[in-house]
Amino acid sequence: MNTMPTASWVGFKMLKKTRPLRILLAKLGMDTHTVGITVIAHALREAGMEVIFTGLKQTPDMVAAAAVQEDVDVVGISTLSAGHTRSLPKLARLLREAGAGDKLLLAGGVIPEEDRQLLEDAGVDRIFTMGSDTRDIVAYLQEWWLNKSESTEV
Amino acid sequence: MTAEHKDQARGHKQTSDAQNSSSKIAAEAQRWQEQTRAPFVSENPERRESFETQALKWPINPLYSPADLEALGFDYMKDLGFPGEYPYTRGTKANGHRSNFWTMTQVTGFGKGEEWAKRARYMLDQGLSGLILEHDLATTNGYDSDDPIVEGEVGRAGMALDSLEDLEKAFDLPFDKLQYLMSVCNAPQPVNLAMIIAALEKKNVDPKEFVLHIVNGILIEYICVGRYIYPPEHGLRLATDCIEYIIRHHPNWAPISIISAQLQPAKANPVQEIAFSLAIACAYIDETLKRGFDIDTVAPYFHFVVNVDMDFFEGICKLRAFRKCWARLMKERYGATNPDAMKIRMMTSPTTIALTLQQPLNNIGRLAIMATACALGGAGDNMTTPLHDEAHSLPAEEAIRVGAALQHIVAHETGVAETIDPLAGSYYVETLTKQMEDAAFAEMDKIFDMGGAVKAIEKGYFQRALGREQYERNKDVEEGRRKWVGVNHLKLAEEKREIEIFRLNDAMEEEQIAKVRELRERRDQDAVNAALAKVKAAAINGDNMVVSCLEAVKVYATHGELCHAMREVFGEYHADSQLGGF
Amino acid sequence: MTAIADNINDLSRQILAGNIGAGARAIRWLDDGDPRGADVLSLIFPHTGRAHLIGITGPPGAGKSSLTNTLITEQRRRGRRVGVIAIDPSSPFTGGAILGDRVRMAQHTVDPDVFIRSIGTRGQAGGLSRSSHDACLVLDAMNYDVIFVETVGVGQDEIDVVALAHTTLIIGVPGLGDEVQAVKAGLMEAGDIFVINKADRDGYDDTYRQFELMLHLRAESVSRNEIDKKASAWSPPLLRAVAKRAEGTVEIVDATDAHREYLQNSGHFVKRSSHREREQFICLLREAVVDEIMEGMDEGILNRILRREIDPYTAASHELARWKGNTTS
Repeated sequence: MNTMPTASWVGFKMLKKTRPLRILLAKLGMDTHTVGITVIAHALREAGMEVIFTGLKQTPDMVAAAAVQEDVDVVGISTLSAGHTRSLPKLARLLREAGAGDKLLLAGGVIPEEDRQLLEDAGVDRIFTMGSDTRDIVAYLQEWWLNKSESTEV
Repeated sequence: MTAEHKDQARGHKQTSDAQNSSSKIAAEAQRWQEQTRAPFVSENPERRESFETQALKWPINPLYSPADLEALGFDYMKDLGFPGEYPYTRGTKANGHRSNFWTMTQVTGFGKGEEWAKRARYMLDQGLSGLILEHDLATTNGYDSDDPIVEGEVGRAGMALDSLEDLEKAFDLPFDKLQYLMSVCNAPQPVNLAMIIAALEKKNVDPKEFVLHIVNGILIEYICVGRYIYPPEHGLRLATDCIEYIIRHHPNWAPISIISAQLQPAKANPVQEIAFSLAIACAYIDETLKRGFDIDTVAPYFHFVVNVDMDFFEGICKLRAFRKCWARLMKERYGATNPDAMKIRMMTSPTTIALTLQQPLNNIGRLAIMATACALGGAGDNMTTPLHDEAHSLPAEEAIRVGAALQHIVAHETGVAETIDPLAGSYYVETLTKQMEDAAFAEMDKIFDMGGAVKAIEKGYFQRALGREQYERNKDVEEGRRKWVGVNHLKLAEEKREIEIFRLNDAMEEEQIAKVRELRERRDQDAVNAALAKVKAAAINGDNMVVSCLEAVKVYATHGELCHAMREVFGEYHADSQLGGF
Repeated sequence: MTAIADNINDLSRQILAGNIGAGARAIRWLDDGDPRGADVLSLIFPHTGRAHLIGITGPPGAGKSSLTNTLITEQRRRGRRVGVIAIDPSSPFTGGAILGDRVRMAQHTVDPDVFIRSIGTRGQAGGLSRSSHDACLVLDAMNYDVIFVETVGVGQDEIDVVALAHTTLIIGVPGLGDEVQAVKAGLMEAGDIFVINKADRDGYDDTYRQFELMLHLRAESVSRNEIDKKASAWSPPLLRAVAKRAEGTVEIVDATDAHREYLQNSGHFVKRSSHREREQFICLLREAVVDEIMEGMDEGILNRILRREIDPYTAASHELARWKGNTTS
C-alpha cells in the first residue's frame, strides 16, 4: 500500500496533496554498470516516490550540489568502485557543510562488511548491499518517511 | 499408367499420406488431451498456473508433436539441412565434435598492474597457450593514471596502460609458448591496438606466428556496461579503422568480437541477444564494406561470444537459431557466397548470472548443466567455464580445476558429443528454435527500419527495452515467480557470504602515477607534440587512426593524451538516453 | 554554505540573497502545497518580475534537455545567471516519477550560478502550472536572469506551462513522420521561436519545409486578423541546431535576446508577467474554493452521482448552494 498518495480521487474523498518522498540516485566513480540502480529506480517509482537520477560518473561535489538544488529527502549512492571509503565520507561531509546533513544517506553496491563501521561513522545512514530485495528498500524508506512526516520538523 | 504417372501418383500418395498422418496425429492429440490428460490433471492439478520459458517468458505447452512443426511450416531441408552446410542449424562443422572437441579454455582472470606478467608466465607454464588482457577503468575510459578523475580506479579492474612502456614490461613473456592474446579495450581501441603492435615489434614477435584478438566491440557498450568515450558514429569509425588495419596488415589476427554475452547481465532475452548482436554486427560490416572489401572477405573475421543461461532448452535453441540467423543474414542481406562467410564463429560459455553467491557448491551443478546445454546446442569453436565461486575474485586453483574438469566430463563421460546435433527433430526443440529465429528476424527488421544499430542507440531503443526487462526480471525473483535455489528457495538461514573486493592499493596507484609523470619528463616532447598533431589531423580527415596512433605510441605519447586528442575532434558522448532507458 | 533558516522571514532574506538551499526548500514547500510556501512567496513576490522566462517544449526525442544544456553554456558565456525547471511525467497510477533531465545538464551542476530543479507532473489538473510558476518566482527572486522551463509538449498541461513563459521555444526534430503533427496545433500558434534540432539527421529538409509552411500560414492568418496585434510585430524565426555539437546555439540565444528586447520595448514583457500572475490567482482561487466545498461535502452526493440518481450539473449547484449557506443537500 502506497503511503504517499497524490491528490486524486481515493475512495470518494479528494485528499489534500500529500508529499511524495524525493530521492536522488547517483553512481560515484568510473564504473558504469547500471542494472542495480535501474531496478531500484523503477521500484521506487512504482512505490510513488520521485526519483531524481543524476547519472553516472558523478563526483561527491556534483551529488551534493544536486541534492541541495533538488531539496531531496534521501541521497542514494550506488558504488562498485573500491573508492567508496573515500568518496562516501566526502559526500557526507559536503552535505553537512551545505546544511543538508539531515538528508538520509544510503549506499549500495559492493561494500564489504569491514567497511560498514567506517562508513556509518562518516555519516552513511544505511547500507544495502548488492542483492538486497527492493521491497526491503521501499519498506525502509516508507517507514522513515512516515516517521519524518509525523514529526513537526519537515 | 506410364512410369511417369506412376511416380507422380506415388508422390501424391506420399504427400497425402503425410498429410493424413499429420492430421491423424493432431486428431489423436486432441483425443489424448480430452480423454487421458484432462482427467489426470483434474485429479493432479498442475504445479503452476502457467509454464513459461525463463527469459522469453513464452508459454510452454504440455506436449509438442509433429503438428506443431507443421503449423510452423517446418521443412527439414530448408530449416535444418546438414552439418557443415547452409543454413548450419545443425552445426558449422561437417563432423560435429566427432573429429575434434571444442577447444576448452578458461578465463584466466586479469592481472592487476605489473602482476600481470608474473601471472601470465605462471599460466603459460601450466600449459595454457592463450591469455586475456583486461584494462582498468581509467584506461577504458581514456585517461592516464594521474588524471584526478580516475582516482581509485588505477589498476583495479585490469591493467593500467598509460604508455608503450607499460606494455613492454608486461610483455616480458615467453612468446614461444604464448600463441594467442585477447585484448579487451573497447573505447580507445586504435590506441590500444597501436600499443600492442608496437610492443610486439619491440619484442621481435613474428605476427604471423601469433594471434592477436581484439574485442573492439564499442557499439555494444552504448547499450550495456557503458565503457565508451566518443559518440556512436565515431566509435564505429574507430572500430572499423581497426578492422580494416588488421585485414590489410595482419590477416591472421581477429579484429572483432561481438560479446553477446555482455547483454545477459543487462537481462536481454535470447531473441534480443540474437537480434541486437546481429544488428550491431551489420553496422560494423556495412562500414567495413565501404572501405572496399567484399562480404566474403569480411564476414569470416567476425566472432561472437554467446552464453547459455539455466533454461536448458532456451540455451540450446538460442545457439542453433544464432547459427541459422547469421547464415541467413549473410546470404540474404549481403549475398555472401563463401561458406566461411556464412559459418558463424563462436565461443560459448555457461553464464555467470545464473550462479549464486549463496551455497556456491550448487553452482558446480549449474555449470555442468549449462556446459551440457552448450555441447548439445553446438559448443562452437571453444567453450569457457567460469568459476563456481564468485566470492573469490582471484581464481583459486581448485576452482580452475573444477571448471576444466566439467568440460572434460561433458566431453568424455556423457556421450552427448558422440553424434552430431542429437536433439534435432525434437518437436519442442525445433519449434522453439524456429520461433526464436522468426522473432529475431522481426526484431532485426525493426532495428533496420530505424536506420540500423547506431540510429537505434541514439534513439535509446535498446536501453529502454533492456531497462524494462531488468525491472521485470528482478520482480520475478523477488515475488517468487522464478524459483532460485539458495536465493529465494531452499535458503540457508544463517548463510552470509561476502564478495572479496580488490582493496585500494594506494602504493600501486602512486607508483603508476609517478611512472607516467616521469615518462613525460624524459621523452622527446617535440616529437610527441608533432605526433599528436598528426593524430588530430587524421581524426579530422578520416584517415585510418591506427597508423597515426602507431607513430605516436612509439614516441611515447601517452594513452590519455591520444584519447584527449580524439576527444577534441569527436567530442565526448553524453547519451540522450541513459543505460536503463531514462 | 550556511544552514537553511528556520523562520520564514530569515528564509526569505536568504532567498533574496541567492542562497540555493533556501530557494530549494521554498520550491519544495510550494510544490508540496505546504502553507509555509505561500508565506514565503508573499514576502519575496515584490522582488520578482525581472527574470526572462523561456519555455522549451517539443515531442519526445527532440533532444530538449541536450539543447537546454548548450543554451545554458551560451547564457553563462554572456554572463547571465540561469535557472532551469525540468518537468517530467509522473505515473498517473503510483504518483511516482523518474526525473532524469538533469543528467544531460550535468556539466553545470557545480556552477553556483546555475540552478536546476526537477519537477514531476504529479497528475493534478492545473497543478503543474501552479508548481512551475511558483518555482520560477522563487528563482526570479534569487536573481536568476534567465529561467528555462522545459517539458514535453504532449499534454494540455504541459502546453499551458510553456505558453505562460515570456518566450516560447518550440523544438522539432526530423524523422518523426509527420513532424508538424507531432507539434500540437496550439504550440504552432503560441511559439515565438522555432528550432529544428538534430539538423544533421535524414529528413531535415522535409521537416524544415513543413515548419516553414506552417509559419507562413500563421503569419497570413495573423495579418488578416488585426485584432490580435500581440504577435503581429514579431516574426517567429525558424532556426536549426545540432545540440550535441553546440551548433546553432549562438543564433538561438540571439533570438531569445531579441525577443526579450521586443517584449520589453512593446510593453508585452510586463503584460505577459502580469497575465501569468492573474492566471495563477484564478487557479489558486479555483483550487481553494473547490477544496473548501469538498471539505464540507459528504459522500452521499458522490454515491448518488455514481448510481446515476443525480446528474453532475444538479449535484454541483446543490453543493454550491449548500456552501453558500442554504440547507438543501
